[in-house]
Amino acid sequence: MNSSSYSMVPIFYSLLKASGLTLYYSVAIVSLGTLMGLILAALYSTGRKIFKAPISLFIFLVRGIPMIVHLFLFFYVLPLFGLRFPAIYIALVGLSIANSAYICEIFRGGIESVPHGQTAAFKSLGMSYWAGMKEIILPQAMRNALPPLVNWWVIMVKLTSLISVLSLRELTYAGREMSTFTGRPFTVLLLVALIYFCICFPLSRFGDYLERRFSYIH
Amino acid sequence: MGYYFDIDYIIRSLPLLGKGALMTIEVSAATILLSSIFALPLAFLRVSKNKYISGAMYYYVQVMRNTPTLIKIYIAYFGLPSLGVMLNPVAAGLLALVTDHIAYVVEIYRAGILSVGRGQVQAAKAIGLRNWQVNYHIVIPQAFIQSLPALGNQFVIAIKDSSLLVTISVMELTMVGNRMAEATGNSYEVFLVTALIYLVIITTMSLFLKTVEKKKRFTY
Amino acid sequence: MNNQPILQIENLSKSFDSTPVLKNINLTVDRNEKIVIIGPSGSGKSTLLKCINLLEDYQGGKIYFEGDLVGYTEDENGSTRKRKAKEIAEYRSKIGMVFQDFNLFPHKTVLQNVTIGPLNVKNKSKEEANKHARDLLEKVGLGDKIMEMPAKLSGGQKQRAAIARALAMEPRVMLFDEVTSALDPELVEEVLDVMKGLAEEGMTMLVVTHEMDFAYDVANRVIFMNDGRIVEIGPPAEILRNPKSERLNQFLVRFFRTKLRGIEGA
Repeated sequence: MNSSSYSMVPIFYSLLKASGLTLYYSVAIVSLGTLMGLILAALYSTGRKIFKAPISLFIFLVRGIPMIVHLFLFFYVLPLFGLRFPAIYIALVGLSIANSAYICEIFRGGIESVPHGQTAAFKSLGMSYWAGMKEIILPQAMRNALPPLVNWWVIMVKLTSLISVLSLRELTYAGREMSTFTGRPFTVLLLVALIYFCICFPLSRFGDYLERRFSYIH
Repeated sequence: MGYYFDIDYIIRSLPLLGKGALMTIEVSAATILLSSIFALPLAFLRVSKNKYISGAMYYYVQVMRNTPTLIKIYIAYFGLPSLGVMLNPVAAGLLALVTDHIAYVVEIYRAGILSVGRGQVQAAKAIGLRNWQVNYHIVIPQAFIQSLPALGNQFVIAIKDSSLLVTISVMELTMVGNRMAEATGNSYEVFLVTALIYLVIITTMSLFLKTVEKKKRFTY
Repeated sequence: MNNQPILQIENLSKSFDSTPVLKNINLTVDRNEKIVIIGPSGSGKSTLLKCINLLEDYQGGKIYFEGDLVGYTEDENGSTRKRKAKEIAEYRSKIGMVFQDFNLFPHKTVLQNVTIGPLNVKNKSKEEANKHARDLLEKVGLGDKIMEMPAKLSGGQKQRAAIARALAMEPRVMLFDEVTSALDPELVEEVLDVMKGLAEEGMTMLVVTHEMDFAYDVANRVIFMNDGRIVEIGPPAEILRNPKSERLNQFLVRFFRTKLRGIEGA
C-alpha cells in the first residue's frame, strides 16, 4: 500500500549503475561526433564546392530538425530500408551523426575567427598553404574552438537522456523505472537530476575556465 | 518497403499534422514569451552587487544548464503530483520549459546589461536620476536591443525543445506524427513529413530573425 | 546674497580597496568661483570631482554643499548615517558634471538627452522641458542638431551637447572632468568657448584640465594635485609661473616641454 517504506540507498545504487551507462554513451557520442565534425570541418575549409555544398545541406537539415525527431528518423525509417542494427547502435550513431553537424560549425567558427591577416602574414613569409595551416592557423583555430566545443560536450551528455525515449536503458530510463517502482517520483527524479548535475557541472566549469583563459590572449 | 511515397496519404495527413504544428508554435511562443518576461527582473538580481543574490542566481543558471530538459519535464509531470501538484501535460511541459529557458535568457540579458557602458550610468546618475530611472530609461532599452538576436535564437531552441513534450503526450507536432505512424503503419511518410514541417518552421523563423537583425543594425 | 562658501571639503580621504587615492583634501569653494585643477594622471583629480557629486563614495572627511552635509546625516552625538538614495539623487541634480567620454545616451536624440533630466527629475512639463532644451542647445551652438542621434555628431558637438544636458538641470556648480582630453585639437576650442561663456555668466566651476591657457584666462585659483594631495593652490599667475614646490616645477617643465616639442619639433 504505502510505498514510502523503501530505503533510498538501493535505489540510489541502482541509479548509479545506470549512470555508468550514461557516461559510457556520452563518451561514445562525444568521441564519434567530434571526430566526424572535425573531418567535416576540414573538408569544408578546403573551399571546394564538391565538399561545401553537401556539407552545407547536411548542416542545414540537421539544424532545422529537433534532435528527438532525428532519433526517430534513424530508429524508425532506417529499418524500412532493410538496415537492421541493434537499437542502441542506431541511437548512438544517429546522435553522433546529428551532433557532428553542430560540431563542424564549431570548428568552422574556430577557423574563421583566426584573423585573416595571419594568412597574409605567413604567405608573405613564403610558407606553403598546408604548412601555414598546420603551424599558424589550426593551432589558433583549435584554441578558439575549444571553449564552445567543451560546452557542446555538456549538451551532448544531456542529450543521452533522449536514448531513454527509445526504451533503451540509461540514467533517465532508470529514473522513470525507479519512480514508478518506489512510488516516490519526485525524490527519484531529483536524484537523477543531481547525478546529471554532478557529471555536467565540472565539465561546464572547465568550459567556462577555458573561455576566460582563451579570451585573455586576444 | 518504403521506396515509394504514398503521396495521397501525405496530403491527407497534413491537416492533422498542421494542428500539431500549431500546438508546437503555441508552446514555443509561450515559452519564449514567459521566459523573456520573468527573466528580466532575475537578470537584475544576477548583476546585483550583493554577492549572495548574484551567487544564488548563478547557481540557478548552472543547475538549469547542467540537467537535461527531459528530466525537468518528467519532474514537472510525474514528480510534482507526488507533492500534491497535479498539472496537465501542457502546463507541466510549459513549467519545465520556461524554468529551463529563463536560465539562458537571464544570461542573455546579463550580457546586454553589462554591455551598456558604465560611463552612461554615471552620467545618468550625475543628472540626478534615481537607480530605477537609470535602469528604465538608459539600461533596459539598450540592453534589450542588444539581446534581441540571442533571444531570437533562443526562440528557435524553444521550438526544438517543444518536441520533447512528446514524452508526456502533449499534442505537438512530433506527438501527432508518432500517433499517426503507429495508427496507420505509414511511419516512413509520416516521419519524413514531420521532419519537413519542422524544417520549414525553423528555417522560416531563422530567416525572419536574420532580416530583422539586419534592419535593426541600421539604428545604431 | 549669501557669502557662505558653496562647497566646503574637509579632510576628504578615499581609497580604492587598500590603495589610497585621496589623502586629506581640504578645499573651500566660493560662489561664482572658477577653480582649475591640474596634475599628473593618477593624482586623484577625477576622483575628487566624483566624490563631490557622490558618484564615488569616500571613507574619511566631510563635504558641505551650501552649508549642508552631503551624502550623510549627522546627529548630535556625531554618528553619521548614509543618506537615502532619493536625497542623494536630489543633491546630484544640483551639481552638473561633464565627462571626458561625453557619455551621451546613444539611443536618444540630442534633444531627448537634454530633456530627460528635467522631465524625470524635476518633473517639468514636456513643453517647458523642450523649450528650455532648445534654448540651451542654441546657446551652445547646436540649434540645428537637436533631432540628430549622438552618433552623427563630432566630438566637439557631443561635448557641447553634454554641457547642455548638464545645464538643463540648472545646477549651482559645474564639474568638468578633462572634457577636452578626448577631442581632436581642432575641436577643443569650440568647447572651451562654451565654458568661457558659462564662466562669464557667473557659474561656479571646478575644471580638471590640461589646457593651461584656459586656466590663465578663466581661473580664479589653480590647484596642483599630486599623489592624492593638494600640493599648491593659488592664482593662476603664481601657480603656473612661480611654482613653489619641486613637484609642480617638474610637472610644468615636463608639460611644456612636450607641448613645445609638438609645436616646434624640438
